[in-house]
Amino acid sequence: MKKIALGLLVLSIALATPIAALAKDNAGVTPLLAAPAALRSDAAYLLLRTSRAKSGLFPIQHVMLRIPTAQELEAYRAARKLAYDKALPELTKKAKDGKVPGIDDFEFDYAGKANSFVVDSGKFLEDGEMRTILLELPAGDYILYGITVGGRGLVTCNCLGTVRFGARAGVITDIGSLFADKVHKPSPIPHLEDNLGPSMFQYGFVLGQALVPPDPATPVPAALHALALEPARFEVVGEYYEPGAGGINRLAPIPGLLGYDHGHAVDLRTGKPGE
Amino acid sequence: MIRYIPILLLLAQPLPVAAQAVDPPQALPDPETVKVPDVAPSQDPKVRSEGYKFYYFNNPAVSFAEAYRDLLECRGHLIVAGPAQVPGFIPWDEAHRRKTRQGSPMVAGPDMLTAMVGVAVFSAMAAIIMPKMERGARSNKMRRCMGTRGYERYAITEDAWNALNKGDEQQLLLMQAKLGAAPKPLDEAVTE
Repeated sequence: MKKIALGLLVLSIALATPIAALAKDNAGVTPLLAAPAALRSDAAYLLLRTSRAKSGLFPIQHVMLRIPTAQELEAYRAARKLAYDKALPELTKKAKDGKVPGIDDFEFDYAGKANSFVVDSGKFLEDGEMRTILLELPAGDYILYGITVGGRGLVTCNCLGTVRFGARAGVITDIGSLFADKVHKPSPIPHLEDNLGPSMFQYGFVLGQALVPPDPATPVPAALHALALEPARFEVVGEYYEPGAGGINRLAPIPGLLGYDHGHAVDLRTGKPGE
Repeated sequence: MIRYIPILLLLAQPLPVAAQAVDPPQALPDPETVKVPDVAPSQDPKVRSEGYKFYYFNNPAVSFAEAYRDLLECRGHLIVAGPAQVPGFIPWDEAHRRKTRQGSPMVAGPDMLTAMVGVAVFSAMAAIIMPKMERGARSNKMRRCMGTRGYERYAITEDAWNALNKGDEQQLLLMQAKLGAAPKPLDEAVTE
């Protein structure tokens, strides 16, 4: 009965999903299915290997976020203010207890350029137990932001700690290997913090992600050997809040790089808390 | 179909009753003055079997003030907004980085309102499922956040759980902090 109910609920929500919400850009990210002959000087590239766990039919995939530029944030805030000012009379009218929501609490459908994206594990350079993926994307600083099931939305954020790295234009940045799976029970995918508690699967998912940074032994496709390639330099990111995520977790500890002290992310190279 | 599952999961978050963020008080009261519900270990099989749903956190290694801060930070994750659309724009700025996120119960945007109309189609069904999904989603967040800070969970009655989780946010924080920093309970921790 519960499954039927959930199925119908899914259907109802699916029917109500605005088409406009599904037509956004992909944050300027293009998965490359073949090695490029040359690298564009105005684009950055990410090389990674990913695990291939699924939940039922749906792949469990990584979500990344490019830290927006000051200009992008300014444009977002201006659009939000415009929408808020327009909605304010209605918000004031609806405020039951006289408390009108502030602009920071105001949600609106922003039509600006995306800065978050799902790493599509079905679009790869090389297949295998771990799939090798090459992405062409805007240069910038990226965060391993979370995990999703399927291709959209953010099911679990790495809100309790993660890492960021820079991707320079004209260079392939190798970020190593990424792993993800459901982690309420033991997972066959290595490196994850798993077996968190079977009851966490009731009425929700808890997904986990792990990173193994590249080292000289990490395999690189032969077709990329002639191209400029450098390992990512990671920085530790401390706790953050993502009110749009269904669940929270943290990137699994990384020996020599990412640790946790009383739950707070710590850069193991410096002993300093994540920023 | 792929795209619908995360949307469902995201909608499983609390709609009208998200935790209200509170400003850290200038000074915490003496924990002796904070009244808490009865959390004495129960041998009632129902309480034991439902411990994964109805519990409180305890870490005997922390002080009342530390427990308060941990709870304040972790309960910040209970504040929800409309589902994060990915791909989409996420304004990574100071609002994401605050240690104690400020906010208030959700203000639904156009996307969420449309989705909620869809939910209303099966409102009777949703009325049964959504509270459980909401509690489960909140529980998962708190378990992960407090668990990584060394807290264990101890089973309590549903009434005691309600007293610790429903009502004035500041009072809830104080009650949970007092229990959070109490000596280790003479009971088995919940592990499932």
